[in-house]
Amino acid sequence: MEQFCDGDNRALEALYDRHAGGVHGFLTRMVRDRHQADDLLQQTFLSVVRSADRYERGAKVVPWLLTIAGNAARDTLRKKKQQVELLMEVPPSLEPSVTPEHSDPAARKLIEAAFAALPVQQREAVLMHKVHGLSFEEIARSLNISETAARIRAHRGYEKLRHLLETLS
Amino acid sequence: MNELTNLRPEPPAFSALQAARAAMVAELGRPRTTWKTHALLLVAASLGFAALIAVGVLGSGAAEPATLAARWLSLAALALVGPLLAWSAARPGGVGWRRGGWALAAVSAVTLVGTRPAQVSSLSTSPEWVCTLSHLGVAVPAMVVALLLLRGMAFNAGRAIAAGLAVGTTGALLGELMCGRNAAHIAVFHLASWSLAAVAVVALSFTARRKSFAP
Repeated sequence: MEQFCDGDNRALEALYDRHAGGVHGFLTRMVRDRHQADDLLQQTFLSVVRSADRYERGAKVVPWLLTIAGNAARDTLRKKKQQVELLMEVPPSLEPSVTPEHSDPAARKLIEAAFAALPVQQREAVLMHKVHGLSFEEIARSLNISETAARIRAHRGYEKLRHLLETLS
Repeated sequence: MNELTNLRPEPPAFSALQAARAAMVAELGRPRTTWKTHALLLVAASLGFAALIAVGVLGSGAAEPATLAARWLSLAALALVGPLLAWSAARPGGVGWRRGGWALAAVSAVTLVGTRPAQVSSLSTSPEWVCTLSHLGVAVPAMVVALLLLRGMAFNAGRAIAAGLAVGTTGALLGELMCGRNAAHIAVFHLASWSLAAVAVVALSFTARRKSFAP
Protein backbone atom coordinates (compact mmCIF):
# COMPACT_ATOMS: atom_id res chain seq x y z
CA MET A 1 0.00 0.00 0.00
CA GLU A 2 2.85 2.35 0.85
CA GLN A 3 4.48 1.61 -2.51
CA PHE A 4 1.21 2.51 -4.21
CA CYS A 5 1.04 5.74 -2.19
CA ASP A 6 4.54 6.47 -3.50
CA GLY A 7 3.24 6.18 -7.07
CA ASP A 8 3.82 2.51 -7.92
CA ASN A 9 0.58 1.42 -9.58
CA ARG A 10 1.80 -2.17 -10.03
CA ALA A 11 1.95 -2.46 -6.24
CA LEU A 12 -1.78 -1.79 -6.15
CA GLU A 13 -2.44 -4.55 -8.67
CA ALA A 14 -0.35 -6.94 -6.56
CA LEU A 15 -2.34 -5.84 -3.51
CA TYR A 16 -5.54 -6.53 -5.41
CA ASP A 17 -4.41 -10.00 -6.49
CA ARG A 18 -3.48 -10.87 -2.93
CA HIS A 19 -6.53 -9.55 -1.09
CA ALA A 20 -9.47 -9.35 -3.52
CA GLY A 21 -10.63 -12.90 -2.74
CA GLY A 22 -10.60 -12.35 1.02
CA VAL A 23 -12.37 -9.02 0.74
CA HIS A 24 -14.99 -10.60 -1.52
CA GLY A 25 -15.59 -13.38 1.01
CA PHE A 26 -16.03 -10.80 3.77
CA LEU A 27 -18.46 -8.81 1.63
CA THR A 28 -20.44 -11.88 0.63
CA ARG A 29 -20.98 -12.80 4.26
CA MET A 30 -21.84 -9.21 5.12
CA VAL A 31 -24.48 -8.63 2.44
CA ARG A 32 -25.46 -12.29 1.81
CA ASP A 33 -25.57 -11.72 -1.93
CA ARG A 34 -22.70 -12.67 -4.24
CA HIS A 35 -23.67 -10.27 -7.02
CA GLN A 36 -23.92 -7.39 -4.59
CA ALA A 37 -20.57 -8.44 -3.16
CA ASP A 38 -19.11 -8.23 -6.69
CA ASP A 39 -20.24 -4.60 -6.94
CA LEU A 40 -19.00 -3.82 -3.45
CA LEU A 41 -15.60 -5.36 -4.22
CA GLN A 42 -15.32 -2.87 -7.05
CA GLN A 43 -16.44 -0.02 -4.78
CA THR A 44 -13.89 -1.07 -2.17
CA PHE A 45 -10.91 -0.98 -4.52
CA LEU A 46 -12.14 2.19 -6.22
CA SER A 47 -12.19 3.72 -2.72
CA VAL A 48 -8.63 2.50 -2.15
CA VAL A 49 -7.51 4.36 -5.28
CA ARG A 50 -9.56 7.49 -4.64
CA SER A 51 -8.58 7.75 -0.98
CA ALA A 52 -4.98 6.62 -1.08
CA ASP A 53 -4.03 9.82 0.74
CA ARG A 54 -6.25 8.80 3.67
CA TYR A 55 -4.21 5.65 4.33
CA GLU A 56 -2.01 6.05 7.39
CA ARG A 57 1.49 4.90 6.58
CA GLY A 58 2.60 1.99 8.69
CA ALA A 59 -0.94 0.74 9.26
CA LYS A 60 -1.78 -2.87 8.35
CA VAL A 61 -3.41 -3.26 4.95
CA VAL A 62 -6.01 -5.93 5.76
CA PRO A 63 -7.78 -3.90 8.49
CA TRP A 64 -7.74 -0.90 6.12
CA LEU A 65 -9.35 -2.91 3.32
CA LEU A 66 -11.92 -4.49 5.64
CA THR A 67 -12.78 -1.09 7.10
CA ILE A 68 -13.54 0.24 3.61
CA ALA A 69 -15.39 -2.94 2.64
CA GLY A 70 -17.38 -2.86 5.88
CA ASN A 71 -18.35 0.77 5.34
CA ALA A 72 -19.48 0.00 1.80
CA ALA A 73 -21.45 -3.06 2.92
CA ARG A 74 -23.18 -1.20 5.76
CA ASP A 75 -24.08 1.64 3.41
CA THR A 76 -25.64 -0.84 0.98
CA LEU A 77 -27.51 -2.68 3.74
CA ARG A 78 -28.82 0.58 5.12
CA LYS A 79 -29.97 1.82 1.74
CA LYS A 80 -31.66 -1.43 0.83
CA LYS A 81 -33.08 -1.85 4.29
CA GLN A 82 -31.65 -5.31 4.49
CA GLN A 83 -30.97 -5.21 8.20
CA VAL A 84 -30.86 -8.84 9.12
CA GLU A 85 -33.67 -10.14 11.30
CA LEU A 86 -32.79 -12.50 14.06
CA LEU A 87 -33.17 -16.26 14.19
CA MET A 88 -35.50 -18.04 11.80
CA GLU A 89 -35.79 -15.36 9.16
CA VAL A 90 -32.89 -16.76 7.16
CA PRO A 91 -33.96 -17.13 3.53
CA PRO A 92 -34.10 -20.82 2.67
CA SER A 93 -32.50 -20.16 -0.73
CA LEU A 94 -29.37 -18.64 0.80
CA GLU A 95 -26.39 -19.81 -1.21
CA PRO A 96 -23.36 -20.92 0.77
CA SER A 97 -20.54 -18.45 0.31
CA VAL A 98 -17.77 -20.23 2.17
CA THR A 99 -16.04 -23.53 1.78
CA PRO A 100 -14.91 -25.20 4.98
CA GLU A 101 -11.72 -27.12 4.75
CA HIS A 102 -12.37 -29.74 7.36
CA SER A 103 -16.11 -29.96 7.83
CA ASP A 104 -18.99 -31.59 6.00
CA PRO A 105 -21.52 -29.77 3.79
CA ALA A 106 -24.29 -30.01 6.37
CA ALA A 107 -22.14 -28.31 8.99
CA ARG A 108 -21.17 -25.67 6.45
CA LYS A 109 -24.80 -24.89 5.71
CA LEU A 110 -25.53 -24.73 9.40
CA ILE A 111 -22.74 -22.26 10.05
CA GLU A 112 -23.75 -20.21 7.03
CA ALA A 113 -27.33 -20.01 8.21
CA ALA A 114 -26.23 -19.05 11.72
CA PHE A 115 -23.86 -16.41 10.34
CA ALA A 116 -26.56 -14.96 8.14
CA ALA A 117 -28.95 -14.69 11.07
CA LEU A 118 -26.56 -12.56 13.12
CA PRO A 119 -27.28 -8.81 13.31
CA VAL A 120 -24.98 -7.03 10.90
CA GLN A 121 -22.84 -5.32 13.56
CA GLN A 122 -22.16 -8.57 15.41
CA ARG A 123 -21.56 -10.46 12.17
CA GLU A 124 -19.01 -7.87 11.10
CA ALA A 125 -17.15 -8.06 14.42
CA VAL A 126 -17.12 -11.88 14.42
CA LEU A 127 -15.95 -12.02 10.79
CA MET A 128 -13.16 -9.55 11.40
CA HIS A 129 -12.02 -11.28 14.58
CA LYS A 130 -12.41 -14.97 13.94
CA VAL A 131 -12.21 -15.31 10.17
CA HIS A 132 -9.82 -12.49 9.24
CA GLY A 133 -7.79 -12.52 12.45
CA LEU A 134 -8.02 -8.84 13.35
CA SER A 135 -7.31 -7.82 16.93
CA PHE A 136 -10.00 -6.06 18.96
CA GLU A 137 -7.92 -2.90 18.78
CA GLU A 138 -7.93 -3.11 14.97
CA ILE A 139 -11.65 -3.88 14.90
CA ALA A 140 -12.33 -0.91 17.18
CA ARG A 141 -10.35 1.42 14.92
CA SER A 142 -12.02 0.00 11.85
CA LEU A 143 -15.55 0.43 13.19
CA ASN A 144 -14.83 3.72 14.92
CA ILE A 145 -15.85 2.36 18.31
CA SER A 146 -14.02 1.68 21.58
CA GLU A 147 -12.07 -1.53 22.08
CA THR A 148 -14.53 -2.54 24.81
CA ALA A 149 -17.45 -2.04 22.44
CA ALA A 150 -15.69 -4.18 19.82
CA ARG A 151 -15.17 -6.96 22.39
CA ILE A 152 -18.82 -6.76 23.46
CA ARG A 153 -20.06 -6.93 19.86
CA ALA A 154 -17.92 -9.94 19.06
CA HIS A 155 -18.78 -11.62 22.36
CA ARG A 156 -22.52 -11.15 21.77
CA GLY A 157 -22.04 -12.42 18.23
CA TYR A 158 -20.33 -15.56 19.49
CA GLU A 159 -23.04 -16.09 22.09
CA LYS A 160 -25.75 -15.70 19.49
CA LEU A 161 -23.91 -17.96 17.03
CA ARG A 162 -23.62 -20.65 19.68
CA HIS A 163 -27.31 -20.36 20.46
CA LEU A 164 -28.25 -20.38 16.77
CA LEU A 165 -26.08 -23.39 16.02
CA GLU A 166 -27.74 -25.27 18.87
CA THR A 167 -31.20 -24.22 17.66
CA LEU A 168 -30.58 -24.94 14.01
CA SER A 169 -28.98 -28.31 14.65
CA MET B 1 -16.81 -22.21 17.32
CA ASN B 2 -13.40 -23.21 15.99
CA GLU B 3 -15.02 -24.28 12.72
CA LEU B 4 -15.21 -20.59 11.88
CA THR B 5 -11.46 -20.28 11.50
CA ASN B 6 -11.56 -23.07 8.92
CA LEU B 7 -13.99 -21.20 6.72
CA ARG B 8 -12.29 -20.26 3.52
CA PRO B 9 -14.01 -17.79 1.15
CA GLU B 10 -15.30 -19.34 -2.01
CA PRO B 11 -13.40 -17.58 -4.79
CA PRO B 12 -15.43 -14.91 -6.60
CA ALA B 13 -16.27 -15.41 -10.25
CA PHE B 14 -13.31 -14.67 -12.50
CA SER B 15 -15.36 -12.18 -14.52
CA ALA B 16 -16.27 -10.26 -11.33
CA LEU B 17 -12.62 -10.10 -10.29
CA GLN B 18 -11.59 -8.93 -13.75
CA ALA B 19 -14.32 -6.28 -13.86
CA ALA B 20 -13.32 -4.88 -10.46
CA ARG B 21 -9.67 -4.90 -11.45
CA ALA B 22 -10.40 -3.13 -14.75
CA ALA B 23 -12.43 -0.47 -12.94
CA MET B 24 -9.61 0.02 -10.43
CA VAL B 25 -6.98 0.35 -13.16
CA ALA B 26 -9.16 2.82 -15.08
CA GLU B 27 -9.56 4.87 -11.91
CA LEU B 28 -5.79 5.15 -11.59
CA GLY B 29 -5.75 7.34 -14.69
CA ARG B 30 -8.26 9.84 -13.31
CA PRO B 31 -7.23 12.96 -11.39
CA ARG B 32 -7.64 12.76 -7.62
CA THR B 33 -8.22 15.53 -5.10
CA THR B 34 -6.42 15.13 -1.79
CA TRP B 35 -8.11 15.71 1.55
CA LYS B 36 -5.86 18.74 2.14
CA THR B 37 -7.11 20.36 -1.06
CA HIS B 38 -10.72 19.69 0.00
CA ALA B 39 -10.05 21.20 3.43
CA LEU B 40 -8.46 24.31 1.88
CA LEU B 41 -11.39 24.65 -0.54
CA LEU B 42 -13.80 24.53 2.39
CA VAL B 43 -11.81 27.20 4.23
CA ALA B 44 -11.80 29.34 1.08
CA ALA B 45 -15.55 28.87 0.59
CA SER B 46 -16.38 29.86 4.18
CA LEU B 47 -13.69 32.18 5.50
CA GLY B 48 -12.68 33.47 2.05
CA PHE B 49 -16.28 34.24 1.14
CA ALA B 50 -16.80 36.02 4.47
CA ALA B 51 -13.62 38.04 3.84
CA LEU B 52 -14.99 39.10 0.45
CA ILE B 53 -18.20 40.20 2.13
CA ALA B 54 -16.17 42.15 4.69
CA VAL B 55 -14.32 43.99 1.93
CA GLY B 56 -17.63 44.78 0.23
CA VAL B 57 -19.25 45.93 3.46
CA LEU B 58 -16.36 48.19 4.39
CA GLY B 59 -15.99 49.48 0.82
CA SER B 60 -19.66 50.40 0.56
CA GLY B 61 -19.69 52.04 3.97
CA ALA B 62 -22.36 49.64 5.28
CA ALA B 63 -20.19 49.07 8.33
CA GLU B 64 -17.75 51.28 10.19
CA PRO B 65 -14.19 50.04 10.71
CA ALA B 66 -14.59 51.10 14.33
CA THR B 67 -17.57 48.74 14.76
CA LEU B 68 -15.60 45.83 13.33
CA ALA B 69 -12.63 46.71 15.52
CA ALA B 70 -14.90 46.59 18.55
CA ARG B 71 -15.90 43.02 17.58
CA TRP B 72 -12.35 41.81 17.04
CA LEU B 73 -12.69 39.05 19.64
CA SER B 74 -15.69 37.31 18.09
CA LEU B 75 -14.34 37.84 14.56
CA ALA B 76 -11.00 36.34 15.58
CA ALA B 77 -12.71 33.39 17.27
CA LEU B 78 -14.73 32.65 14.13
CA ALA B 79 -11.73 33.12 11.84
CA LEU B 80 -9.86 30.56 13.96
CA VAL B 81 -12.61 28.02 14.50
CA GLY B 82 -13.76 27.80 10.85
CA PRO B 83 -10.46 26.54 9.43
CA LEU B 84 -9.90 24.30 12.46
CA LEU B 85 -13.28 22.64 11.95
CA ALA B 86 -12.71 22.29 8.20
CA TRP B 87 -9.31 20.70 8.82
CA SER B 88 -10.66 18.35 11.47
CA ALA B 89 -13.53 17.27 9.21
CA ALA B 90 -11.19 16.32 6.38
CA ARG B 91 -8.16 14.98 8.22
CA PRO B 92 -7.81 11.16 8.37
CA GLY B 93 -8.21 10.07 12.00
CA GLY B 94 -8.29 13.42 13.71
CA VAL B 95 -10.69 12.66 16.55
CA GLY B 96 -8.73 14.98 18.85
CA TRP B 97 -8.81 17.76 16.26
CA ARG B 98 -12.57 17.41 15.96
CA ARG B 99 -13.10 17.52 19.71
CA GLY B 100 -10.93 20.64 19.83
CA GLY B 101 -12.94 22.15 16.98
CA TRP B 102 -16.27 21.45 18.67
CA ALA B 103 -15.03 22.90 21.96
CA LEU B 104 -13.75 26.02 20.23
CA ALA B 105 -17.03 26.34 18.33
CA ALA B 106 -18.88 26.31 21.66
CA VAL B 107 -16.50 28.93 23.05
CA SER B 108 -17.00 31.03 19.91
CA ALA B 109 -20.79 30.81 20.25
CA VAL B 110 -20.57 32.02 23.84
CA THR B 111 -18.22 34.80 22.71
CA LEU B 112 -20.63 35.94 19.99
CA VAL B 113 -23.42 36.33 22.52
CA GLY B 114 -21.30 37.51 25.44
CA THR B 115 -19.61 40.34 23.59
CA ARG B 116 -22.89 41.93 22.50
CA PRO B 117 -24.68 44.35 24.83
CA ALA B 118 -27.98 43.19 26.31
CA GLN B 119 -29.80 46.32 25.13
CA VAL B 120 -29.20 47.97 21.77
CA SER B 121 -31.36 50.53 20.05
CA SER B 122 -31.00 48.92 16.62
CA LEU B 123 -31.81 50.99 13.57
CA SER B 124 -32.85 47.91 11.62
CA THR B 125 -36.54 47.52 10.82
CA SER B 126 -36.31 44.17 9.07
CA PRO B 127 -37.71 41.04 10.78
CA GLU B 128 -35.20 39.25 12.95
CA TRP B 129 -35.45 35.97 11.02
CA VAL B 130 -33.94 37.73 7.99
CA CYS B 131 -30.59 37.27 9.72
CA THR B 132 -31.11 33.50 9.99
CA LEU B 133 -32.17 33.23 6.37
CA SER B 134 -29.36 35.41 4.99
CA HIS B 135 -26.76 33.56 7.04
CA LEU B 136 -27.96 30.26 5.57
CA GLY B 137 -27.90 31.82 2.12
CA VAL B 138 -24.27 32.90 2.28
CA ALA B 139 -23.35 29.45 3.61
CA VAL B 140 -24.60 27.67 0.47
CA PRO B 141 -21.26 27.71 -1.46
CA ALA B 142 -19.41 26.38 1.60
CA MET B 143 -22.14 23.76 2.04
CA VAL B 144 -21.62 22.49 -1.51
CA VAL B 145 -17.87 22.23 -0.92
CA ALA B 146 -18.42 20.47 2.41
CA LEU B 147 -20.72 17.91 0.80
CA LEU B 148 -18.17 17.23 -1.94
CA LEU B 149 -15.58 16.71 0.77
CA LEU B 150 -17.79 14.39 2.81
CA ARG B 151 -18.75 12.34 -0.25
CA GLY B 152 -15.11 11.36 -0.55
CA MET B 153 -15.20 9.27 2.64
CA ALA B 154 -17.49 6.96 4.59
CA PHE B 155 -20.22 8.68 6.59
CA ASN B 156 -19.02 9.75 10.00
CA ALA B 157 -21.31 11.88 12.14
CA GLY B 158 -18.40 13.61 13.90
CA ARG B 159 -16.84 14.69 10.61
CA ALA B 160 -20.20 15.82 9.25
CA ILE B 161 -20.88 17.92 12.36
CA ALA B 162 -17.42 19.50 12.13
CA ALA B 163 -17.89 20.28 8.43
CA GLY B 164 -21.38 21.64 9.11
CA LEU B 165 -20.12 23.90 11.87
CA ALA B 166 -17.33 25.10 9.56
CA VAL B 167 -19.99 25.93 6.96
CA GLY B 168 -22.02 27.80 9.59
CA THR B 169 -19.14 30.12 10.46
CA THR B 170 -19.71 31.93 7.14
CA GLY B 171 -23.11 33.18 8.28
CA ALA B 172 -21.86 33.86 11.80
CA LEU B 173 -19.10 36.06 10.35
CA LEU B 174 -21.66 37.88 8.23
CA GLY B 175 -23.65 38.52 11.40
CA GLU B 176 -20.64 40.02 13.14
CA LEU B 177 -19.96 42.23 10.12
CA MET B 178 -23.44 43.52 9.47
CA CYS B 179 -25.80 42.99 12.37
CA GLY B 180 -26.07 45.53 15.17
CA ARG B 181 -28.73 43.84 17.28
CA ASN B 182 -28.46 42.71 20.90
CA ALA B 183 -27.24 39.54 22.62
CA ALA B 184 -30.67 37.88 22.72
CA HIS B 185 -31.01 38.26 18.95
CA ILE B 186 -27.56 36.74 18.41
CA ALA B 187 -28.35 33.85 20.78
CA VAL B 188 -31.58 32.99 18.98
CA PHE B 189 -31.34 34.02 15.35
CA HIS B 190 -27.61 33.84 14.60
CA LEU B 191 -26.85 30.67 16.52
CA ALA B 192 -29.97 29.10 14.99
CA SER B 193 -28.59 29.58 11.50
CA TRP B 194 -25.21 28.19 12.59
CA SER B 195 -26.92 25.10 14.04
CA LEU B 196 -29.23 24.70 11.04
CA ALA B 197 -26.26 24.80 8.67
CA ALA B 198 -24.60 22.02 10.68
CA VAL B 199 -27.79 19.93 10.78
CA ALA B 200 -28.32 20.39 7.03
CA VAL B 201 -24.79 19.23 6.24
CA VAL B 202 -25.14 16.16 8.48
CA ALA B 203 -28.50 15.22 6.93
CA LEU B 204 -27.39 15.80 3.34
CA SER B 205 -24.07 14.01 3.76
CA PHE B 206 -25.85 11.03 5.37
CA THR B 207 -28.00 10.55 2.27
CA ALA B 208 -25.39 11.52 -0.33
CA ARG B 209 -24.09 8.91 -2.75
CA ARG B 210 -20.50 8.25 -1.74
CA LYS B 211 -17.47 8.34 -4.02
CA SER B 212 -15.34 6.54 -1.49
CA PHE B 213 -15.91 4.46 1.62
CA ALA B 214 -12.51 5.10 3.18
CA PRO B 215 -12.63 6.18 6.85
